[in-house]
Amino acid sequence: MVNYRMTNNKLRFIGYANKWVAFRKQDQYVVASSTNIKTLIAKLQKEDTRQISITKVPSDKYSYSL
Amino acid sequence: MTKRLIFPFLKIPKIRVNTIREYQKPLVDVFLSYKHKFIPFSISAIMDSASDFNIFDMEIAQVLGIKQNILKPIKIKGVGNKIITVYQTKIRMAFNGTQGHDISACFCNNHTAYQILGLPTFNICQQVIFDITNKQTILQL
Repeated sequence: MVNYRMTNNKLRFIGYANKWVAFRKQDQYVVASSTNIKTLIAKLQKEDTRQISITKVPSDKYSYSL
Repeated sequence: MTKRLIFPFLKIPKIRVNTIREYQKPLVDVFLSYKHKFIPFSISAIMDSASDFNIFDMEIAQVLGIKQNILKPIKIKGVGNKIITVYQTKIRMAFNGTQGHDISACFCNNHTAYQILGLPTFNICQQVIFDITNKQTILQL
């Protein structure tokens, strides 16, 4: 598993390869991540459901689409 | 009455040896439910007109409480001529502030790509615009 983290302020999205991430829609900043979506949702209990979106970040090395 | 939804492209960093590049991906937010269960947060999924199916990670099926025995296995072929088995059923999908649609969804074990909204999603839209200049996806429903 390849993890990567951004240091450039212009790139707000911090991705973790093959992990589920929850990010704020407004600034695309990651607020939580997990390898398991159930755990991620549990971490988000106090978050505003309207502001947060969930996605799975694929490995940046092997990312593809069908 | 038609509804127009705008989703800014999601900025994804990509590392190449010593350089970091930013890619803008046309991900849109959908709410998924099945019978009485739903995911309280929207799921970001990529709009992919080249995909014949909506494809989600099997973990989403588990969160929605979809039992394995109602999933219909089908084989699909993707890049590299590789055949994979996905599991199909109907779920309810809604964009923010819109009515839900019963839509075909395939679930895939160990899905390592973005969640994919393929042709079944395009077919419920009147118009899909990838606005490259303003870096946003516009859906008209």
